Amino acid sequence: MATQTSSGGGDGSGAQQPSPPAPSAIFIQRDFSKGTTPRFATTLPQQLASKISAEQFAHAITQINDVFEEAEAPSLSLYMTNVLSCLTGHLLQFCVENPYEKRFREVSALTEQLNQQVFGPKGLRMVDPLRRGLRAIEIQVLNVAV
Amino acid sequence: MNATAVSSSSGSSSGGGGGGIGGSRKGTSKASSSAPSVSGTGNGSSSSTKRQASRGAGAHGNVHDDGEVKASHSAVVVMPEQEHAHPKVYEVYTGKSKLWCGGRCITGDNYGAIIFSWIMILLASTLFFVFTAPFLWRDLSPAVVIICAYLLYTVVANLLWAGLTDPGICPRALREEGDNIIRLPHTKPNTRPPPRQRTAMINGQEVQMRYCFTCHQYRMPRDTHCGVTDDCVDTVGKGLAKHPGVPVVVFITFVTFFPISGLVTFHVALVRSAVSTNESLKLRFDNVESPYHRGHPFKNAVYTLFGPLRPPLMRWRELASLYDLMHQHREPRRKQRRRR
Ligand SMILES: [Zn+2]
Repeated sequence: MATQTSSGGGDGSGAQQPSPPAPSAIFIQRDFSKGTTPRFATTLPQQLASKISAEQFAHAITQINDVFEEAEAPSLSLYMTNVLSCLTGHLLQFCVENPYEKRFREVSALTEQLNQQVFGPKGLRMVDPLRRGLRAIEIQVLNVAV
Repeated sequence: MNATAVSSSSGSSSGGGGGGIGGSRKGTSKASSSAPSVSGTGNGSSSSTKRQASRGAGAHGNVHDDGEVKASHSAVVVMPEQEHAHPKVYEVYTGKSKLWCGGRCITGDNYGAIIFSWIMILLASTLFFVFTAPFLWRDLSPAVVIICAYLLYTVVANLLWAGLTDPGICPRALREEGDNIIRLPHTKPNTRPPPRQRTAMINGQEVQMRYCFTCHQYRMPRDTHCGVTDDCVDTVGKGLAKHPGVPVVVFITFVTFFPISGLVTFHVALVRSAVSTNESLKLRFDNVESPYHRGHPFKNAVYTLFGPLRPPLMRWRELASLYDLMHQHREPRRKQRRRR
């Protein structure tokens, strides 16, 4: 970044100052092996091997994956709601909340809970996947003594 | 917050100008309408930390003529703009889509086609209800007119829905995240690294994911970078509905019957075989079965039409800071290439 700035801005190099050390982050990528339902890879990345056990990590990610699998599972009541919504020209959407939104909140709550119980004590912080557009789960390595 | 932006921009005039514009395009117009004298400060959305200013300078590089003026303004007038203290996602959005009603509605930036199709639909239906409908009501059956009115209502409602709601925009990632993923940070400044691909196995079938240099992410399977919105867009949703040509197509199908049957047959075939319009036009799964197949054509159709609908991933009305969108900026590709 620094090299790009100085060459791009020309005289901009004078304003450069060392940025504060940000917590380094590891991005857990999406697992598309079962389709486009949001799923995240459960294999422990190398960089985190010293921080957390593979089973613990896989269990945490699986919990997140399960919520999304439930969210994208078809159900009769959902079909009925969506057909009705279509017939009313999407007016029903203003009255009935998309159940998927509830799942989003569930994932946020689960992230919070995992941070308190699993990741926090190990000096890690999991970022709500929704905050990264569901393309990755960011695991931040915090710069604090454990 | 503002103080840091000021100090950096006074240090380098071009950096300040670039950072401001990179920070938010919306901010420019907003600030100039409410407080024209401080257009420079408004730009940064007060979120412009030094990092953002430098990012903007890196991306834009080209020195703005008024950069000097803006910088001096912001150095003199430090205005704590309360409304910009905590900008929402739609306020820092840098794609090409236009946001309305505080992020509740979203449209493309091509109004000509939209207005044309609306005029045509309203004209045709007005003519029908004024001149034809009374006779149908009296001589044939009121039911015919009522059904026609309902059909018109669904057309209008669907057109509004398709035209004003999020087409499935995938939020852009920060450059850091992209570099983290492709593992090879830029070695030469101001040059674009070669395109990268990643292969995903979907239900045992290989699908290529290309890296998007604007959004700093691998395009998810079924996503494409849309030129209209300048964002990566989910094609399974209604990505195509944002295309300016679509309202025209809708209009044509509305007034002439023949294309309806053709288009409907085409789309029914697509939905049955679990292929999105975009994929079909690119002949993505011409010889093999789509990996997104759900087993039975009818199941595919019902799931696609009435199954779970993933809500927009751009949470327009939430705080931008929650999504780390404060530092995102627009990278004009052509400018960057010319400068090299
Ligand atoms: Zn893109």
